[in-house]
Amino acid sequence: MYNEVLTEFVKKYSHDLIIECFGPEASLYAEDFKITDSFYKKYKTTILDNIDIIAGKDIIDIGSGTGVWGVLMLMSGAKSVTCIEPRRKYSHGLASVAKKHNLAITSVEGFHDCVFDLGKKYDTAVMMGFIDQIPDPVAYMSRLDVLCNHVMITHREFEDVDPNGVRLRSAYNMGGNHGFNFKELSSITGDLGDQTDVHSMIDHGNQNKGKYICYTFGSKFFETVAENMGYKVLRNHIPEELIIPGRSNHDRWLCYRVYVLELNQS
Amino acid sequence: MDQQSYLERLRFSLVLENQTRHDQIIPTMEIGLEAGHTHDVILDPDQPLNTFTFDETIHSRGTQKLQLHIKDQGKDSYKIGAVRIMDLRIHGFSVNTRLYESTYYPVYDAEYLLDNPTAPAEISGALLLGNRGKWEYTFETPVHDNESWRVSLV
Repeated sequence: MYNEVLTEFVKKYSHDLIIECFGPEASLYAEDFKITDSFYKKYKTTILDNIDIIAGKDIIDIGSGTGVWGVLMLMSGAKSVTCIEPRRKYSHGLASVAKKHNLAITSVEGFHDCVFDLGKKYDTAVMMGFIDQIPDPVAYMSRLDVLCNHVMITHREFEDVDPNGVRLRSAYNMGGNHGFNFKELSSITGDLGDQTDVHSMIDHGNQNKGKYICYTFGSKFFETVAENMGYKVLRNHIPEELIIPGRSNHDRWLCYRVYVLELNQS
Repeated sequence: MDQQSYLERLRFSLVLENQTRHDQIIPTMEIGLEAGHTHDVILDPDQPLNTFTFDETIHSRGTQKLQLHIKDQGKDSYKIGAVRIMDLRIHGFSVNTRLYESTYYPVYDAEYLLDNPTAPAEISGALLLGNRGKWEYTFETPVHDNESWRVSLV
């Protein structure tokens, strides 16, 4: 596979983004970074397949992590990208890269609610792999029409959840793609956003530290929510590229469901 | 370096807590991938936590074993102090609960074994190492861009 944007991304930005976000211990990873098949699939299914709501648009990426998708959306034609991320290491790292390379990216350190305080309206909100980690996803959805015209949501899907149902999972905030314990937000001080460590969790009997719950949504959950709110569902699917044959264990990550909703219909 | 000649290069950081008492001797150790080059691990007695950073080159997909050897000290081996593994990072990312995907193979003194014949030959998930022997951490490669690891830009 060859993609000009991804090739340019590796040439110009990936090294700086890795070092700024992860620190000098990641320098070997930065030197060796390359586009893998799974990276390309994610790029295609999140950006190329949704280019109609990205190219030429002002984007707000809520829960942007390292900002890698923000950079790639900008490189793929977005007019501007605003990235919202609570983990300081990532939000500051992205800000540093954006400044160094003069990118039209604004990096804001903050949680999902801060988007309503920015005083700006966007064409598209992107929420990739984070809506299952906030305490109030339905209420949050109901407010989005004042923020943007379209929203793209991706969330992990487990096969044992009723299509309109929700299941709760409990886990620890240590490791990637996890949520937050909202009663311990002041303790998000670990360089990479952890709220606990293995010894605090297991050895010191502090087993609630950093523990959080997150949601697992059924395949039509946001379709039903959208209909209730008068939003139009433009897309609701699991991209073929992300389906992993033979993976059926419901406790394992399967793949991402992608929604595109039109919030303000003219 | 030719990127085609290896699967990936990994930078490890092992964080050890020195629990050696004043009447014991500080353990001497080496660490590395199974059947690969090893790196000396020398504890600073004045520091409660010691971090050792080293690089490894991975050539194949599949299961890898990182081994920490606590060296024999001859007749003084019974005096070897304890170390506790506090963390293991790859490219700066803690392996967190995966730290317990490890096995400790202690080597006991002959006298101790006479008194404790059922002393375990291996202990799963042990992080406090009080004898000479081997601690082995098992992991899968590639680590980069692996969906179950955190080491990734996405």
